[in-house]
Amino acid sequence: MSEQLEFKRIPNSGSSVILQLKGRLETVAAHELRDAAHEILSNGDHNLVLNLAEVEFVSSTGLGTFLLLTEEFNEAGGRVILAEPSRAVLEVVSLLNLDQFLNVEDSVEEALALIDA
Amino acid sequence: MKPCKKILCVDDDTASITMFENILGPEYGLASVSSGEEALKVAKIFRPDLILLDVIMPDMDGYETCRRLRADSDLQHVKIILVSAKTDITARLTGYEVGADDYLTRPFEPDELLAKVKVYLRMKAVEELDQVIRDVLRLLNHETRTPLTAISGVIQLLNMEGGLKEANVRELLSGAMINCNRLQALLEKSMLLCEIQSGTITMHMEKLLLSSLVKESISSLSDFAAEKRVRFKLVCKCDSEVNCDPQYLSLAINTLLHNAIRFSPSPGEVLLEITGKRGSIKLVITDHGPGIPESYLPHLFDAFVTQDLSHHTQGHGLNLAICREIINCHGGYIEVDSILNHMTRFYITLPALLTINPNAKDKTPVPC
Repeated sequence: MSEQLEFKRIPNSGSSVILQLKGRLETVAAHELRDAAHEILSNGDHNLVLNLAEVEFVSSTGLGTFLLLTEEFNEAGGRVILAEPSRAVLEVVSLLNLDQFLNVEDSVEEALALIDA
Repeated sequence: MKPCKKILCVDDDTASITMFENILGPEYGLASVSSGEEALKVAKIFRPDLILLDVIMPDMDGYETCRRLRADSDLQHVKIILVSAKTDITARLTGYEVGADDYLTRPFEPDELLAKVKVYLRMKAVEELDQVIRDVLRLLNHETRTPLTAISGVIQLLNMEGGLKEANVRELLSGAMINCNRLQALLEKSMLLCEIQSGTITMHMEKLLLSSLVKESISSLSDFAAEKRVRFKLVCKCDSEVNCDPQYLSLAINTLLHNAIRFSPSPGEVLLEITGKRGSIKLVITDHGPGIPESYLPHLFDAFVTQDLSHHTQGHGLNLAICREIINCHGGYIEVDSILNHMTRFYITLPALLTINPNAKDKTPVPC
């Protein structure tokens, strides 16, 4: 795992996988997140909630990863939800008007409720 | 307040991505991916203005990626610059053949990259404006004929020897006036769309509560709603100040409300809901009219959509395009979903400045 970003799987009894991210989402870290998400997808889990409350920075590769995973999970019939986005995440998403393409929710609970709805 | 220009960087070399970030990051919105396959997926939702595409990549190379990007009708106008260490003329010509706009050889100076990006983004903006102008001319050619023929018919009748009864004259003049108003509205909308697209429009921004703008729109359309026996139901789950030009934002809201009333059954109800999320506020307008066929939805906000041209009662195909442009100018976006013979729902999302929870005891606005 890269030094800049830690991510851990949060236990969840529902049909979604929750990953909690902490630190800077730069190039290497973004690739690690991508690999972890692909593994989740290949294990048959099609809904992923990323808790981004403690993400301090999102690089262009980090943003590319959010977009790519959104599209790939959509193709698989599921979704990726960016939950509790930090100010750094929100700034990137709103500056580029991407909240119409990315699923952004205020909290993990709201993200899970949306998936289960 | 329009969102910044978007560039998609496609390169399997992380050092190159970092270099693109350093050179272009301060001025543009960047997303990066590391393969052609990823570029095809991300471009669909990122909708970049420009793509920097590495030529030599494993699996799908830059040429094949470029060819496939160009095959997607939604990405035909995106500018593509191929980037490669290959300097031979064959490599360059292959790039142009597959649809690239330019070819940049490594190593390059940061200023050269910045200059090329600026030129191609400017060219894209000019091409887009040119397309709008051509569409406006086509529209004017099509839509002015009927009212002009009607007005000229009235003039001929009034000019006939023997004269007409006063009541007939009044009726004819009233019809001519309606056609004059139609022409004037068409010209005003066309000009407005061109001004927004060309960036020459001046907006006077103020901080206002979204709910107050919505209430004003409801009030301004109350006569029309009463005539159609449509009532409004406003639900404010949240409220926020938005940074807006009240004249233009009201125009966008009024357009959606007017349509909602027009297409509602009589008697009927139009539901307006204001909801919020962190950093944004959303106005949702729902009517229970005939709905919109699914095939029209992806291009509903494009100007001059064909069904509008062929059905005069549907307007000129300009109203919703203007709506989208106005919302975009406010840093927001507009969406629609519809179920045929059941309902249509428009969503306006805007950046929120301060939010107020109407259900909270303390109604002091809090920063987003």
